[in-house]
Amino acid sequence: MKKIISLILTSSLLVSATFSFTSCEKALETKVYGQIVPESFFQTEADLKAALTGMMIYISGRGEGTDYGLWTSHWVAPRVYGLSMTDELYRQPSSWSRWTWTPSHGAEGNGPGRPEDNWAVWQFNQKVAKITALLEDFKNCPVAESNPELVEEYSKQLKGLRAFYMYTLYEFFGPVNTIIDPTKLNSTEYTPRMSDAEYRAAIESDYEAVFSSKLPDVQVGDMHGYVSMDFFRMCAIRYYMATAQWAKAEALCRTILNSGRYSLITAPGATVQTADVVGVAGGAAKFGPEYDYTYSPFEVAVNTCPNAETIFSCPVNTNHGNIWITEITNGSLYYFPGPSAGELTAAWNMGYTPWKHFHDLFGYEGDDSYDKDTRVRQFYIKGYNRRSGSLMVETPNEAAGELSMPGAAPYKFTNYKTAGHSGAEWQIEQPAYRLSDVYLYLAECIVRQSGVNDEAKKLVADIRERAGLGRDLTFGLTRYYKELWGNDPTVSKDAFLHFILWERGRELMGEGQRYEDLHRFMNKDGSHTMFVQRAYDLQKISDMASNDYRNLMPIPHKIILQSNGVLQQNPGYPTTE
Amino acid sequence: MRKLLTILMLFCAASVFAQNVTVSGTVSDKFGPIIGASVFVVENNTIGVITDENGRYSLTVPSAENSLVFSFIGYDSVTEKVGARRTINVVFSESATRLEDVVVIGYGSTTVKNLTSSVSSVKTEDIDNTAIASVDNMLLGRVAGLNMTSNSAQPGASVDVNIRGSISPNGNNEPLYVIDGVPMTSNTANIAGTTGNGAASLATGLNQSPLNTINPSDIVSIDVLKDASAAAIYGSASANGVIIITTRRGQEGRPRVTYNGTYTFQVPKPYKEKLMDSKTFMETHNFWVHERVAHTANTYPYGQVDYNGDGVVDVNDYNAAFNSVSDMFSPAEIAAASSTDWLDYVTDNAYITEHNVSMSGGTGGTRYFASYNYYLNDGILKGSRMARNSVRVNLDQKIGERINLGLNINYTNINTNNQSSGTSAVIGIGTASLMQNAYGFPPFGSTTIDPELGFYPHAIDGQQTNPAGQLQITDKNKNNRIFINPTLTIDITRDLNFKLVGGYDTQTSRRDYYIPRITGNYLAPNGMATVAGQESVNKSLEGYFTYNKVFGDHRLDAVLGFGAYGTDFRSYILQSSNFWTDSFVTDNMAIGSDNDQRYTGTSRSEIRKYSQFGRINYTFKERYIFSVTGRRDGSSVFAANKKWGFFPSVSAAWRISDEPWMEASKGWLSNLKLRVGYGTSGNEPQRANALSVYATGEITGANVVMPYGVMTSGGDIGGIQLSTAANPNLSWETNETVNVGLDFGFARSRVTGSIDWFVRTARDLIDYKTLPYDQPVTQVISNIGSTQAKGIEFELHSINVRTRDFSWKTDFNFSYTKYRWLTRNPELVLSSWQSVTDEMSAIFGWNTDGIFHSYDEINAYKNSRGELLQPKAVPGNIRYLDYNGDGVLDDADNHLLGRSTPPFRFGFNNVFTYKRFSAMLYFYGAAGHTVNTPAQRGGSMGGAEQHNTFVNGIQHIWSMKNQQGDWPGIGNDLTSSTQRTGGSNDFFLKKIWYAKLRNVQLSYLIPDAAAKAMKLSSLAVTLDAQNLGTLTNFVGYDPEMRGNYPYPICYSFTIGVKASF
Repeated sequence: MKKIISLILTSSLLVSATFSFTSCEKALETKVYGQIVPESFFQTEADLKAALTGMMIYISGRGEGTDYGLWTSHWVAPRVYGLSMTDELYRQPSSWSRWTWTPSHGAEGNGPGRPEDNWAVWQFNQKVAKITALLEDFKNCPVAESNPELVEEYSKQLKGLRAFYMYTLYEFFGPVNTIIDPTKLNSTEYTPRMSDAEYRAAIESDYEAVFSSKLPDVQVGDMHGYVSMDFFRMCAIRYYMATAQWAKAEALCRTILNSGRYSLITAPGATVQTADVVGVAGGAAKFGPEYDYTYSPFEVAVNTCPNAETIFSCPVNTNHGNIWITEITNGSLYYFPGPSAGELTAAWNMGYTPWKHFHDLFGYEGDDSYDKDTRVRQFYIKGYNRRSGSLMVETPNEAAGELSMPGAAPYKFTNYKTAGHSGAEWQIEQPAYRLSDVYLYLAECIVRQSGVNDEAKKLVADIRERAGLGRDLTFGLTRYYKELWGNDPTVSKDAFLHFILWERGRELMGEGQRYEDLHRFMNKDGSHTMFVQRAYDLQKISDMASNDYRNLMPIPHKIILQSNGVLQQNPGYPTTE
Repeated sequence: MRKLLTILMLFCAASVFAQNVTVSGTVSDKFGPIIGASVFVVENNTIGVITDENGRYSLTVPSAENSLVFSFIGYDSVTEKVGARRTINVVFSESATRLEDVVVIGYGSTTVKNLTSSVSSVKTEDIDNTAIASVDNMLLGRVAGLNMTSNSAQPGASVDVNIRGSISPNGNNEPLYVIDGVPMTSNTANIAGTTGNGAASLATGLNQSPLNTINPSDIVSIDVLKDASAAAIYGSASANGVIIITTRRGQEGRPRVTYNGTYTFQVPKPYKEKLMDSKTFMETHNFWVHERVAHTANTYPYGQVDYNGDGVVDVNDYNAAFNSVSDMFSPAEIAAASSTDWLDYVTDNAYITEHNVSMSGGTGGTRYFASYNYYLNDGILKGSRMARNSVRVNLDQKIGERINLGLNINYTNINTNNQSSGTSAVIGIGTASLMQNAYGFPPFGSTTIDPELGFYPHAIDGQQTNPAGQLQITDKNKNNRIFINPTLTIDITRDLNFKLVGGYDTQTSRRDYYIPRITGNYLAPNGMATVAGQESVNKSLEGYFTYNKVFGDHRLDAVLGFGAYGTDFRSYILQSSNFWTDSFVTDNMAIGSDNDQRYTGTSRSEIRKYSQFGRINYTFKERYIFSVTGRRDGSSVFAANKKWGFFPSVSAAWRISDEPWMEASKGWLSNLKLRVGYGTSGNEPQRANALSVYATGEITGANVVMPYGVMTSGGDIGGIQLSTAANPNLSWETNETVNVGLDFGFARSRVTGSIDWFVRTARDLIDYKTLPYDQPVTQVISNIGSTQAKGIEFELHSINVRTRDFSWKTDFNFSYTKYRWLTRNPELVLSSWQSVTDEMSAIFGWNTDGIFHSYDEINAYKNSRGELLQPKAVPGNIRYLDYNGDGVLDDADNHLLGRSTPPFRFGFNNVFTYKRFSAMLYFYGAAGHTVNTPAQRGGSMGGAEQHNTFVNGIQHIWSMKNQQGDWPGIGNDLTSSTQRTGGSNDFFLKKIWYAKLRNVQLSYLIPDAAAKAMKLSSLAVTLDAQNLGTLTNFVGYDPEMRGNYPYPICYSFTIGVKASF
């Protein structure tokens, strides 16, 4: 019996012990490892810096997935219409639905096409909100008391980033519904779109904030991707140009140009033997028209980035390479130099850049300028040996077993044309802003405000001379230009402005400016933007008047639906799926 | 230890006890003598024999005071005292054993007779002894409502398991496994990095079955708690039902040593889809290059461009475009090309060997069971392999009259080599699986290294890895698991006892993955090494009282207990790239020279849970049974004010056949019981919590984080971003089940079975609520929506024939289940043809009627008003049917085409015995679901892609040169893309059914004399053929495998030996 009692006692003790311990709520607290719980963060300056950095990565292009930042702003978004390169070269992704260049494409939000590109830009909205939330966190964190200057400085930098995102949204969709008011954070309701004036005032006030910050003018040391004041100056120039605030844009252009921080590259590079390059394993490549030649100053400028001319470029390393190469080259050119020396990688079989359109606008083979304009030579190789041994060229000799090459293969932002191509081509940075851009922007600002003058002519001539065309502004005009504006670009303000537009087309091909440029310029009779005009020229739309609405992109349909009537679609686009 | 020695000594000494009395006789039933019945001495069960062919036995017993026990499966045992008799003949009478079968339920057991809820029990003695890697494979098709789909035939691959349907769209759908009383917390995904598509695994690995670590031979029974009235006692983790696994334990008596060995030969099942040889491939390719030019040029018949500028768009434009490019492959290249059948190249015959030794016995209060298992499967896909060593010791020790101690120790070591299969990426991308490349690599590709390149060369697509090169990848996995499970049982009084069950389960695994330079993977041209590891520790402690008492007509069984559980999980990953040699594999990762691609990662998680639970069973007059359970769970997963949940259930049963007024029908109706139950159980969110957190990077794959850092030459600057919004109200999903069942037995239990009807409703589904897209994060985890499964399950067991020499038994189970939405996330925008309460796996779309072969056919396809139904169609497009007859093809013509989850499933087993032979035929299958026929693989690629190697593509895809083709051509289907917004079509869809003949088995029990001559107490030989055939209306490779490019299925032939000493 004693035994039984002791048994009962023991077991009851065990049970009651465990029961009391099961009621201990403390032990059931959620534990988070490897991530940060905000309640315990923002205690130190380093914490604030980490939060600032977290917002900056989008600019540098380090983000994955849809978070490309500068990439989205410059390349991904405009590629909807093939404008990442020129207005002529369109993409034909073979693995998605086949489509051709048309402003209606992807317009229907979640419909067929590439709505994810619109979507990628739309997501900048979230970055704006994240910055607004962070600014609020900064204001209330302990560091705000201990080191208010630092909080103020970081806040200004954050505002600069916010201006960049807001401008990109603006360029694409017009004024939208970004959250810059912290009281609207965490609301489950959509906010309506801001008015144009409100939206522009918000951008301008953010730019003013960042310009009063202590950000260094250039990237400090080798901190690619960490933004500089000149980066924000370039962003602001884009914004002022787009909103016709020429004087403000001009002032910023002059600040950069007169700073002495950058200079145009005018010296030629190494002499290369082209036979050494593409297709190391499969045989020699043919570049045309010349085979052995000297690297032009222009090629040095874009194919050795970053350099003296680079204001800001997308950073790369072997892990995050220059993806422009694989994005844009045509699918039949399977092998490209890969990330490592002597290795080959493949094109993504997506870009399809037909010769015809290219020639019509920029190629003009047979013209005097063809061999001279190294910017055009930059754009394609004329043939190459495939690994199987057969030769693919523009005009095949079929009897000799040569095959037709369906598209151009640009080698801008690469150096695979360089002898021995060390493999570093994967690591050539893509320039987002170069000094050439400033030259041409400044020329445009001057002409827009005071007509054609010598300074404007000189700025454009400097760029053309570097490209190999000499200082004669009537030399090597495109056929398209001549048909509309004649042989002398200096005769009128409009003629010169359009001359600049086509210079920009050649000089800045693939640098992500074309979409905005075409929006900024009106066609000859001033009735429509060049964006709509070009769509008409290329028979992508049948008349211009009813297509003006395409100057703005449609807001993704999903958003319109979700907002339950709060957000209005841009006019002209369907409001139902 | 001393006990163990004693046991061993007893074992050795068993034969020395020969003495006095010799008893003999026969054992029979009403049909005649029984062969193999066991006869042993009650007082010393090391003394025993088995009856011979004539049912005779002869046994020398120590004393006339001893008693003998006669037993045989299927009959109640008979005990006879020897006394003065020297001849004892025993005639077994049939027993209603099934009703008395013990069924393990949570925290206790009951009998079939007294069950109030839906529980299915599988005894392993009913299952064949062929080489089976894991328990889940053993259960395929055995239990009505236990839905299992085997996804891969890879050695050790897991089976998708759900009980009564996957109705949690974002939550866990796996049942809770309870092994020897210990709930296995998060026992899935314990093998490092074998899934996912992150940098750690450039190709999808293998979903290893979490049950691999349990040796199937150690298992004595598996009980499946299907409805919530049974499962609720496991609370917040039991929404998907509970599978209780009980391992063997020693029995007091004669030591039994059993050896069981098998050898299985495996032959790949031939593929139905034939691949092209090089000549055909190159010619086909050449053709499609031309055809695509016409398509791209948007000229006849694909568009309206006047290609040749002659003012009309006609076949001349097509010809001009077609001829505007040259061939991809020259005649010389075609003539020179050799062919490799890559599917054949990557597969090989395979084998399995398995050895299993167990011993069990007990004496003087100590019982033991110990086993060792070795399992090796050299897989069909070259280089794939699984080897398992597993040891189990189950000990029971009685201390005094009231205390029982138990200790189970299970150690398992599994080594696998993985080969990738299934769709892991777009074909032609460096991350595509071996099987994808075997299907899609050009047949002219080289099978040898190119010495100049230093790797296995690519063929057309520089991103597509050569399968021969891919075979060079090392992908090894080591998994060690130690599971220690002590128990203490105290009989406090005769009616009340207390049990304490501890569990300490630790698993470590490590995966070594190396892509050598010679593979030629374009993502890792200079080699990439990854080492990933995981460690998980599950600790649990449960204590509970049970009280069983009979007062006259009343019987009370009660359980009251508590539990504390903890799961700690850690993982790491290391990655390094650019090796100048392949010789180190993952053994010297420091030499990987690419600093930018060097990667390290670690992660950790921790879950704590506390529970209190109880159950009361009350039985009145053995006819009216009531059961109430409740469990209160607190979990660290949930928000502060939502940590605790309560999960009750009630159920009742009425044994109608035991009513006095049923006495008259006892002759034919041996059992009739009605069961009704209602219960709730919970489902925890996976990998989510209720807190708001800042992340340091974006998770792109298993454990791989892309840091939110800014890249600089001096190193990255770290960054953080808000990644998750808090939901302080996040709670568990709740499952509610109503179950009504009827158990029956006819003809003195020769036919038994049950039928169950259930409604299972999941409420507060864990889903994401979308935030406006101008907010910092897009979504917040919430409880939204509900789903429901309704179904009927039917099980039947019958002894069809039983004569002296021949018997035939059949087990049949069948289930019909439908799953639908009850309420959905209100933010979800439904298409016009959808409704809130659609079936969960509904497929909507248009009906089709072949394709258009010409413009004539398109122009003849008109509605009643004479308008063209498909004005935008081009030849080669699908012809859609105007389902609602309104004369237009649009969204309104979308309707239900089928469902992707099979509503019908069944299992059908037959066992025949004839004298010493026994044979088994086992089928399982499913029906009523709609799947894509693999034909679509050829079709969807438009026949023009470089990865299309299917012969059927050339024959079937419409083109200008193959106008008889009956599959869609490459012309843009504007009808489909512009006249409606989504949905599918039924062109390649087919409603299918299948019945797989899983086993055909033949066993022979060697005559006793022969066995005795070999010093064995019994010896059986088994021949088994698995996967011999499939009856189906499905036309592809295998109707059960989901997705394309599956691991190849094989025919298996096993020879097995089972010997007892």
